[in-house]
Amino acid sequence: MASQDIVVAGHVVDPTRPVAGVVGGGLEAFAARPQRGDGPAAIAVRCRAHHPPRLKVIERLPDPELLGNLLLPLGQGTMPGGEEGPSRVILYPMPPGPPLMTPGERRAPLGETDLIQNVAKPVARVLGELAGYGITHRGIRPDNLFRPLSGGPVTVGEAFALPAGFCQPAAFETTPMAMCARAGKGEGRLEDDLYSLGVTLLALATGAWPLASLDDRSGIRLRLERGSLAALVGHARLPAAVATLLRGLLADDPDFRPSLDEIALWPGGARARPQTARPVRKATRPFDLAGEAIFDSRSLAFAMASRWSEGVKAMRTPGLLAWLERALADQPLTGRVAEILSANALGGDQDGDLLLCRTLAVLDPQGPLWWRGVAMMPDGLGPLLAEAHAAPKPSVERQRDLADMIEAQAISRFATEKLDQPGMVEIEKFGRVARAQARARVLGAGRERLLYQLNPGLPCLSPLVRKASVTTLPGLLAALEQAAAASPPGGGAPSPLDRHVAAFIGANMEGKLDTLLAAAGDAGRPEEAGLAMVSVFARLQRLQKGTVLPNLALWVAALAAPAIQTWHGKAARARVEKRLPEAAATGDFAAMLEVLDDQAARAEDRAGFAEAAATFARAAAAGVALRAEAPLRQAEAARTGGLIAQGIAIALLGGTVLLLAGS
Amino acid sequence: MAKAASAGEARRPSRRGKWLFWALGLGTGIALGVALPTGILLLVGLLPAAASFAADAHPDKTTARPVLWLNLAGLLPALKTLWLNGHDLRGLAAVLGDPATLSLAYGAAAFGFALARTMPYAVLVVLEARAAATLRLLEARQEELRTAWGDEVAAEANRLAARAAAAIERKTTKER
Repeated sequence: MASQDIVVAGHVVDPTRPVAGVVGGGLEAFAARPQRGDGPAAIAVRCRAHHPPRLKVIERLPDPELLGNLLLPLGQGTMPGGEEGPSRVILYPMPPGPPLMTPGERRAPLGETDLIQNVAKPVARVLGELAGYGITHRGIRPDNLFRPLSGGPVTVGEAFALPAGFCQPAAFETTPMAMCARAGKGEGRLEDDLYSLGVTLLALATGAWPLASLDDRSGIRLRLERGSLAALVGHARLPAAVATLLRGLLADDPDFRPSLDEIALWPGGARARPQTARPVRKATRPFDLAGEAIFDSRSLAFAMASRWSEGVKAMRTPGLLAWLERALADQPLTGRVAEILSANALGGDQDGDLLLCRTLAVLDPQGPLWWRGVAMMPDGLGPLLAEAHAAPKPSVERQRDLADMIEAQAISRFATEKLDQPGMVEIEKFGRVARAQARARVLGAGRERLLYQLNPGLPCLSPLVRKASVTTLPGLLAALEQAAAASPPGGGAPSPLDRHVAAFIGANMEGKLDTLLAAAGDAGRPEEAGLAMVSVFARLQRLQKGTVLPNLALWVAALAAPAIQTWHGKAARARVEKRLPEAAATGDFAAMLEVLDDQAARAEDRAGFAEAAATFARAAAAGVALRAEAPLRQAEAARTGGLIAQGIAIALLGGTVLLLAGS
Repeated sequence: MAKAASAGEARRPSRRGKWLFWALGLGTGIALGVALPTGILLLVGLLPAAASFAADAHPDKTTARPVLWLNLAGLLPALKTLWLNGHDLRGLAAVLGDPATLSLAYGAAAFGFALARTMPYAVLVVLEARAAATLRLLEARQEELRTAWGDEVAAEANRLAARAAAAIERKTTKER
């Protein structure tokens, strides 16, 4: 094994042998071979932290043996040398051959039988199998279908190393998906994959990349104005069976797309009468938006969204409603838009962002959520947050826009306008929950928690450990231990438990440490905060038996010093003060917790303090009583003094009598 | 009822003082009638005691009684001389003419007065010294507790006292 080889999931990865043309999205891939034996070659795909892989989907994928014709992950690991330290790596088997078609390529069209039997049906089978696990593929495109040069059924390439749909060109996505930011498409639906299959079949049937001469925006506009089928197919001559199949797959209304069973039996299973989608309602006169003439509501929504500030202005003009009512003659639509605009007549939404977001949701019921010119699907929020926060140069503007969107509950309001569509009730709740989480200020919660909760596997972005690219709790502890070894610890950072570290812990511990984390961040009660911090690390260390963290323990011990004040007795405090650094030097947080919070000793300390306070109070009361009794003492002195004087006088009288009697 | 009781107690000592005064007066009267020289000697010799009784407003006559007993003690030698050297007016004149007689009697009365005045102060000094010693012990105990438990023990004691006072206040209000 050469010195630069890296072992991941039982395979040796050679970073000096990159593999091109197998994965998209700009990801690096390297050749890999089994560490033992003569197994097939593999490729190691290096992931990017700010475009997180679909880890939750990967967990649900079946074993590779159960699902043929699809490149499924063989394993995961980490390898050094990424943009910011070690990066996650996913291993895949090597594809059986080259891709069917590369982006922009012109090639000889595939025959009808080849298309149906070796492309459409195998891909539909794969999609059907994945649908059984509740998974979409979101990577169906010609350069992601592979087969040997000799032909045969295609193998579908990978689609899990990046956010869903990230690598899909706009032309291969439905128009709503095509509008979305690459990282913000969400998991999508089977119907989205079927559409992508349709465009793929079109490209293979014509031998040309669809809409290659148009930029993404123009391509979307064309499809909105003319419909996807007309815009994409144009005047291309297609075999009959393929044309009928495409008419269904490229329907803009997902309900018109053929089912997997129909595709499996194609052309025999095709519906007797080819279904066509409803025609787009056109206006009798155009709506002018900054010089652009628009004839339908969906195109209007897209135009207003793409030019956000003009869209906000146009929304506030009476011309919009007038156009909807008279030119487009869509009364229900007019009523809904009017309702939104009149409900906000009091000016509650000063920027107009939320108002336009809701208006666009109504104008284009199939469209994505728009916010300040960026489109997303609601479940694409997580990867968008990751992209904004975890990029090598994080985008402060994008972070602010997303934060404003969450605060405005745009996701909930978007879903509210579409409650008749499936899944929108859950999305409405998700929007509210996201805002509540983002607003929370306690340590372990807030925007940072939302980021990690929506992106499991995202490396911790704390400046303390960012370069170490930690994605697990054991990794976090090791990285914090290293950071604590610096002088001063953490490079002068005030605490090892900053907002990112705490949120990372909270998300990875699934809420089990939320109370402790919140207490650890309570600046108003430093004694309790110190104790809580030790408790957090003790719980984490318990997950990894045998790990010692002396540098981190010493750092935390210094920060937890105020916790000594939670002991009442000075002797107890002195004892704890002496034993705490000794326990910290062993690197064992449980030992530190035992010193700081020995329950039996605490009970004794509390009881002793209560007794001491009671005694002190009694002594004080006795002193007050004594001082108050001064007049009583004076009266007593007068009485007793008088009696003593009398006694002496009587004694002297008696003595005198005896003396006189005796003499 | 307490006021009436203490008023009753004040009336009893004052009644007793008056009784004593009248008894003394009666005794002197009887002595004058039965033994004139002795009576006159007592009258003249016990003038300080009489004055003291008249002046002493305390119900127990705490000043007048020591003056009386010592005045009497000082007069006893003169009485003995009168009785032994002829209980007549000539003997009385001789006794009264002796400067030592009245000096001793009046001097003893003065001593009695001084005794009655100073003894309460002496007792007060002792009582105050005892109280001061107790206070010092209490303060020393509090200081010990402060040393062992810090200033928080005083704050906690104040809280306990405030809570107890509030509880008493609530109870009193309920009873009213």
